[in-house]
Amino acid sequence: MMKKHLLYILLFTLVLGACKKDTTEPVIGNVDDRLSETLTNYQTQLNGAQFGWKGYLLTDNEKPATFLFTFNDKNRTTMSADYRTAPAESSYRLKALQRPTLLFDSYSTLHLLADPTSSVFGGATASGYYSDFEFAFLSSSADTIKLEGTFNKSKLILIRSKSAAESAAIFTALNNVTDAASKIRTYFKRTTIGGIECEVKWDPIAQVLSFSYLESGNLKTVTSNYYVSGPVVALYDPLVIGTTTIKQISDITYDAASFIVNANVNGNPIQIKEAITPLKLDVNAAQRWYNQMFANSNGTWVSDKAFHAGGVDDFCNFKNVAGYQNLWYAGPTVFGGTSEGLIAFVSNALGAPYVLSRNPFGINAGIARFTLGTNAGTFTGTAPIALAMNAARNLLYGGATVGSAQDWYLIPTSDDGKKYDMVRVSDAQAWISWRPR
Amino acid sequence: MVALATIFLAGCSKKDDLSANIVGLGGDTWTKGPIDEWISTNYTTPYNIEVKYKWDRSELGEIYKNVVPVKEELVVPIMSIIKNTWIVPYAAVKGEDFMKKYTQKQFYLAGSPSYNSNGTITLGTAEAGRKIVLLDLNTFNPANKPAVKQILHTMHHEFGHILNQNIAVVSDYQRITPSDYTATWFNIFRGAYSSNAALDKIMYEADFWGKGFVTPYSRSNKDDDFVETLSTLLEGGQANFDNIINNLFVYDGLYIKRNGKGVYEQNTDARAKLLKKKSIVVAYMKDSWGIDLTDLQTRTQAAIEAQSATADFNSLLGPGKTYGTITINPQKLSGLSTKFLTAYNTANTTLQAGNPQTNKGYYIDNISLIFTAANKVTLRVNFMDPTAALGVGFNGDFDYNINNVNGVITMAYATPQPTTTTYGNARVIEPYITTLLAYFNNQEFNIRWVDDIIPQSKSIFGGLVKTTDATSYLFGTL
Repeated sequence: MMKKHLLYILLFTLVLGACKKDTTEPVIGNVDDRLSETLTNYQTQLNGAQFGWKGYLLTDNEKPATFLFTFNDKNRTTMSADYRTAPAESSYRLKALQRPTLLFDSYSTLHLLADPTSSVFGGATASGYYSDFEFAFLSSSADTIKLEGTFNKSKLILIRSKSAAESAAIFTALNNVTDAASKIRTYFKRTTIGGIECEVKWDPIAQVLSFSYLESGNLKTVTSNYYVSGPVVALYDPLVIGTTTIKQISDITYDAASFIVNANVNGNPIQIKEAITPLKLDVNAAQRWYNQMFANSNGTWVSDKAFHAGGVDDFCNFKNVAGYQNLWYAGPTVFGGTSEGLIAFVSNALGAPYVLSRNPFGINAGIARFTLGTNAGTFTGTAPIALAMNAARNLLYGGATVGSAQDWYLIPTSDDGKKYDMVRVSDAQAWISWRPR
Repeated sequence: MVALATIFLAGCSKKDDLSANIVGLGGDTWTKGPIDEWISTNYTTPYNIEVKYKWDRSELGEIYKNVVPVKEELVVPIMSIIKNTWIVPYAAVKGEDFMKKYTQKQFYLAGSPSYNSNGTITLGTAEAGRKIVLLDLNTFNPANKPAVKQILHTMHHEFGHILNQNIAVVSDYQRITPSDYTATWFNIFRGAYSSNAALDKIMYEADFWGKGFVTPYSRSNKDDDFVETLSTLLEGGQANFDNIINNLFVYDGLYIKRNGKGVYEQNTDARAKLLKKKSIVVAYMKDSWGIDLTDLQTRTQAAIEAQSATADFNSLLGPGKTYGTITINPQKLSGLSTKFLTAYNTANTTLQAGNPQTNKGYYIDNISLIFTAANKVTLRVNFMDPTAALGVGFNGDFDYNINNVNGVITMAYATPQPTTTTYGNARVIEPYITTLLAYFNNQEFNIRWVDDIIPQSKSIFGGLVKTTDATSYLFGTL
C-alpha cells in the first residue's frame, strides 16, 4: 500500500515537472516573420530605384558584363546589357531558398551568358560562361546590393543609379578607363602605393588589374577583376599591398603632357607612369621561351595580333594581308636544318617573304637578342604581305640588313610557362604575345 | 485520481504561435500575367494540369546541370501545339475524362537541353506518371515542322511511359529483340560508321532499323523501345512507318543484294520484328485502353497538319525548289497503281528478255522524274547489267516538254532528243520499254500529294495522277 502511494507521489512530481512551460520568446522575433520582412524590404528596395540599378556581373570563368536593370512590383524586370543594349522585358522573383534569392525566372538577356548551348552566345558546350540567373543576397545597403550566384558562384553587384544621365552612361563609363589605360605607351607601368613601388598590369578588355611588388626580394602579385561604375574602378576582390588595402581606384585621368595616368586610392593621389624595365626580370625566362619553342606543335611560337608598337595594335598591318591567320617564330621543324625565323601563316600556308635569324640564338643576362641572318623573298613593292613583313623585320631585328640586332625581354604570362609576352628592351614601347601553335 | 490526471493533462497543453505566415507555403506566387491566364484556361481548369514555365531548379531531375529557363513568348505557342496534337486527339478517341485521369499532373518547361557527360542531350523526362519535363524549347519555331514533330514525339513518348506504367505491355514485346538492347545506343549516329556518306547512312540505318528498332533510342531498353514505337506511329504517321519497313533490305556494302533479274533480297527478319512490335502496340492500345490506334493516329496526323500545313506538292517541285526529283522504285514502295505497275513490269520483262546480243538481259532498277529544268521533265530509267558489278548501272534519259498550269502537265516527248551518253543509253533500251514510255507519252497528269491514296504520306511521297483516270497514278520518294 505504501509502495503504491510512493508511486503516485512520484508520478505527481513527474507530472508537475513535465508541465514546466518554456516561456522564452525569440528576442529577434519569429523566423518566418523576419524572412517575410526581409524579402519585402528587398522587393521595396529593388522597385524603388527610380533610375534603375546598374548591374556588374563577373561570371565564374571571369567574363565581365554590365547591365542596367529596372524592377517593378509586379515581378517584371527590364534589362539591357553591354553586349545587347536593346532593353528587353522578362520576369523575376524574390524567393526564400536557403538564403533570400533573386531569381531571373524566365529567359532574358542575362541568361545568354549561362546558356549551355554554345551556338546561342558562345562559351563552353554544357556550361556557357559559367554564369548564373539565381542570385543569393550577400549584403545590402541602401544603394548597393551584393549577390552571389547559387549555382556557378558568379558575382553580381547592383548599384542604384542616381540619375537618368548616369543610367544612360552606364555602358560608356568603361570606355573612359579603357582609353586612359591604353594611352600609356610602354609595356611596363609603375606606381607607388603606400610607399611601395608596384608594377601595374592592366588588361582593359578582360577588366583585370594586377599589382606586383617586391617583398623580401621576391615578386609578389595580387590580381582582381574590376568593374567601372561612373568615375570609379571597383575591384571585385580587395587587393592588399603591404599595409594598404585597395577596394577601388577613382578619378582616373590621363595627362597627355607627362604620359601619366593620375588616379586616387583611398583618398591619396597616385600616378601610374611609364617604365622601360620590369620591376624584377625573370632571368631564365628567355631561355625557357627558346626551349619551349621546340616542344610546341610544329616547333613554333604563334602570335595572333603580331606586333604592338608606338601605341598601335598590329603596327605592321598584317590585317591588310588577305587570309592572314597569325605570325610565327619557328624553328627547324618549319625551316629545316638549324634554321629559325619569322614567317606569316596565310590561308593555311606559310607565306613569303620571311626572315631567318642568325644562329646561335643570343641570350645575355636574361635578355634575348635577335640577329638578322637571311632575308628570303621580296620585301619591296606594295604587296600587303611584303609591307607587313618588312615592318615586322625592322621591329624584330631593329633593321633590314643582315647583322641587324635587337634585344627583347621575355615575360611569362601563364602559370604553365606556355605563353609569353616579348618586350623591346630599348623603350618597352613594342611588344608581341606568343602562344604555342 | 482520474480527475486529477485530467486537470494536469489539460494544464499541460502547450500552444504554439501559429500566426506567422510561413514563407513559400502554398507554392510560388507572382503577379499573374496573360500566360498564366492562358494556362489556367487551357490546362489547369479543364485537365487539372499545372504548367510551370518559371524557373525552379528543383523541378529538374538533374539539378547539377547548366540549364536555362524557357523564353516566355514561346510558352503559349508550344503548349497550344501540345494541346492540339496530343490532348485533343486522345480526348476525341477516348473522352475528356480519360485525359483528366491519366495525364501527368505537371509540365515543367525549360529552354536549353540538359547536356550529359556521354555527349548526348536530354530533351525530356517523365517521372512516374506525375510530371513531364520538356527541355530545349528555346529553339522552337512553330513554323518548323520537324521541330513541332520533335516536341510531339517527346510528348507521345512520355505519355506512352505513363500508359505503360499504369498497364504494362505484355512481356512478348521484350522477347522480340531481347539481345539487341544496349546502354550505348547513343553511339548510333550519322558519321559514326564510315567516311563514305552513302555507306555510313546504310550502316547507320542497319544498326537500328535493320535490327528491328524504330529509332536508335529504342535500342536503349524494352520500355523506351515500346514507347518509341508508339510515339513514332503517332507522330510520324502510318506512311512513315510503312516506308521504313518497305526499305529494309539485305545489303552487300553499298548495294542491296539481288538475284540475276534484279529482285532484291528483303531483310525479312527486321521487317517481321518491326511488324510484330507494331501489332503488339496496336493490340495493347486496343485491349488495355480500348483505343483504336489507327483512329488516334489519323487524328494526331490531322492535328499536326492543321498546326503547320504542308504546301501543295506542285508549289514545292521544280528548279530551285524544295523538291526536284521523284524516284520510283516499285520494290521499295507499296500502293502504286496497277495500271502503272503493269506498264513498268511489262517494260522490265521485255527488256530482260530482249536481244541478249545487244542488251545482255538488262533489268530496270528504278525510274525517276527529274524536274530540275523549266518546262521540261526528264524520265530517267536506271538499268543494270546482271553480269556486271552492282556499282555499274546505266541511266537512260528521255526528255519531255511540259507546260505546268496549276499542277497539271502534259508530257510531250521532245524531238530531237539530246545525244549525250545518257540519251545514247536511252536509245539502247527504247525498243524494249515501250509500255513504260507509252504510260507517259502525251498523257496529262496532276502533280500532287497522294495522301488520299497513301494516308499521311505528305512530304514522304509526291506523285503524278492521270487527270483522265484517277485509278492510274504513280508516286515516289523525294
